[in-house]
Amino acid sequence: MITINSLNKVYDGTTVLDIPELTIPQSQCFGLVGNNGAGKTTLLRLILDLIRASTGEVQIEGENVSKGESWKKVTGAYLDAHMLLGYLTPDEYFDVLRKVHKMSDADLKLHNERFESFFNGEILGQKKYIRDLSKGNKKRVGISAAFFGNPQLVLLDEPFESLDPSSQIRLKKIVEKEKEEKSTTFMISSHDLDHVTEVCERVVLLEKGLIIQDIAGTREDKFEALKIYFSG
Amino acid sequence: MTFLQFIQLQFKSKFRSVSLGRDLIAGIFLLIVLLLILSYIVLIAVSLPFIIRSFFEIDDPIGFLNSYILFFFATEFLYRFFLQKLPVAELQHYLHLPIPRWKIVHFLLQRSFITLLNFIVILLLVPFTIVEVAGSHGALSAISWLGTIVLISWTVHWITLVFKRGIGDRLIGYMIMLTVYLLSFGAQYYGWYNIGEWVKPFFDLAIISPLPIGAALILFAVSYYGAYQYYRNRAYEEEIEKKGRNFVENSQIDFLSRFGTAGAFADMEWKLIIRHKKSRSYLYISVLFLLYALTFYPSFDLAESALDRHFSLFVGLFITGSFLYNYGQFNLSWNSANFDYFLVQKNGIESIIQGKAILYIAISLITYLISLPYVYFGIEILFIHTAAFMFNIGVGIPLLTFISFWKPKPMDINKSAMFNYEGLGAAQFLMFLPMIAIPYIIYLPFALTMGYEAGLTVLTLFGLIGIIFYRQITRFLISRLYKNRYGISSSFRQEI
Repeated sequence: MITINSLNKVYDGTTVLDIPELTIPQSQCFGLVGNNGAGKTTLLRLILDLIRASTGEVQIEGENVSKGESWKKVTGAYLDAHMLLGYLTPDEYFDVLRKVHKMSDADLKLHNERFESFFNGEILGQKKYIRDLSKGNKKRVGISAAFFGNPQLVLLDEPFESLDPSSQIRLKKIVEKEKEEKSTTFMISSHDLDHVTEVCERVVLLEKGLIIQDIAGTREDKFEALKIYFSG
Repeated sequence: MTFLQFIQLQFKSKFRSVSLGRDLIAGIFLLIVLLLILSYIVLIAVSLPFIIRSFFEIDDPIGFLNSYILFFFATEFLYRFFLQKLPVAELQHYLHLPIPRWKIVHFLLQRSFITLLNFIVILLLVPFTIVEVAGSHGALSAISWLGTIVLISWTVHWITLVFKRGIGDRLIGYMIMLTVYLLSFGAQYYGWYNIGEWVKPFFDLAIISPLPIGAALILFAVSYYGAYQYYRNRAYEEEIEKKGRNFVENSQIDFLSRFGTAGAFADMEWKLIIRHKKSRSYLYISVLFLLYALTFYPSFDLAESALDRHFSLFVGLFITGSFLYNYGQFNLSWNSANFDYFLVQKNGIESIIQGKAILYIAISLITYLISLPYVYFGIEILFIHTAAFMFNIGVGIPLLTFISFWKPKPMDINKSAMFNYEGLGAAQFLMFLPMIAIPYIIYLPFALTMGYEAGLTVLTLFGLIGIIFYRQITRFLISRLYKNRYGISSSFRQEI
């Protein structure tokens, strides 16, 4: 699904990300962990072509993301609140997305039903602009927005952060269900080792822009390996 | 997504904007200003043929306009540079969606075109075109002539977009603009060379031939395409704001550290000013305000005319308090993003008020010193500016601080200052009244009965009294702010 070749990002002479090679196969849930400044968000932005790579390239389904744009049709993402339109209500925003993704009203209804328990009745039908929502509710709007148009690849930056515990558990269920039913590929960055080791079969550890561990195996194996690293 | 849908979204964002939606008074005031400007434009437009013929006594009004049209474009470039908004900030909401990048850039550019600025030229010239051009040359010539001018004015729109993006909000941009403008006008005025005459034949030709309008159309299309290419190549998140990764320059003002916590807060406020877009603009504007006196003093006869002296007090107040009036009007709003921090800090409220006072005094002193060369226009200016300075320090600062507690509004100081109404409330509109009226109420009775020296002396005395009772006044202001703290902090927390 994603192929990365000698990807490098330099800001003012400082290398913030350097990945010689990385391949993420279809329907894998790929976890990204690392302390602040490790380059997690930079990597996600590079994959989405929101910032320019200094050298190297990212390919989604064989297409260089900075050259073509057909990959956008199969990719959904939520990195931060800038991606939302704060002056709309959640319903209005979803309607805009419906048009952008050329979906019918029935499609939208289906989509909202999928997220019904995740929204927990606090998102739809509210007379509140997105900018006035709490952090957690903004995140819920953004995450469900990333699933519009049945993407084959979903990128989420710290999705568990600022969600309440029930929503965190529901989000994990959604990810697992999508993977099972539609073999969607996920890329999830997180500081929550518990969640990320549970939901992702592969976890990559970044440090100062470099991949220093690429861990697979049972949940306990991954958790132990990460625990050793982060305690040290 | 279609362009229409995009425009609908843009309208929503305008009408639901935090700054306009929340304050009715500000909205009404701005509407009145807008209508006023529009009616002025219409008034000028309608009387333009008459003005040129009767006032300037020109027999060939079209030729006259043609030789000056270049300066119209220069002026247009100048105000467009200040007023026109760049369409880049919107990018981040759309880049990740399955909309092609070229389409987003086209949307944003075309959206930027829908502005009142692009209709000014039409409003301004249509009556003239109908009366003069169509009257003597026919409708076709009129369309060709007006079309040429409008298209060139619209070309300026795209050029400004690229120029402004390239220059950023650096002081150098303002300086370049001012120099070019003054040079071109100076050249015309002193007759070194007349650029206006050079381009006149082009617009003369537009009356009899369709070539100029064709050329203007090509110019318009090429400039749009150029702007498109420019923005298309920069349609990345990291280019939206050229900020962030700059190395932090050390801008500690050492002498402020003598004033303890309040000094530290003053220093912090100074850093806030020079590290944010909006506050930086207000600092530049304050500097430009120093030139304001040049529009009055050269023509004043201060030794003879009492009226000129009385009016100079107004100029003096404005100049020595240029920073105070410009930046200070928003007083607490500058800290709206972290006002709660001051509330939970030990002595936070005291320090913020004293810190700001120290900063205002320091900068007022600097502007006062810079303004002293105006003494060239008369020694009276020294007395006037000194009295104005003393009054601003002793009475102006506490007065302004006091008024600013009245329903301050939150604002995002990372945004540009132009056409940005955030933070504007009723207090800001009414603030100038007492700031100017009170010194005159004090000054005039003495000045009119015993001479302006007496008025200035009393004004200075008031300033001195304010300085002597600085502690008591500050204590009063602090207690006021304590009383209002819940209202202010909840108003600040509401948004942004």
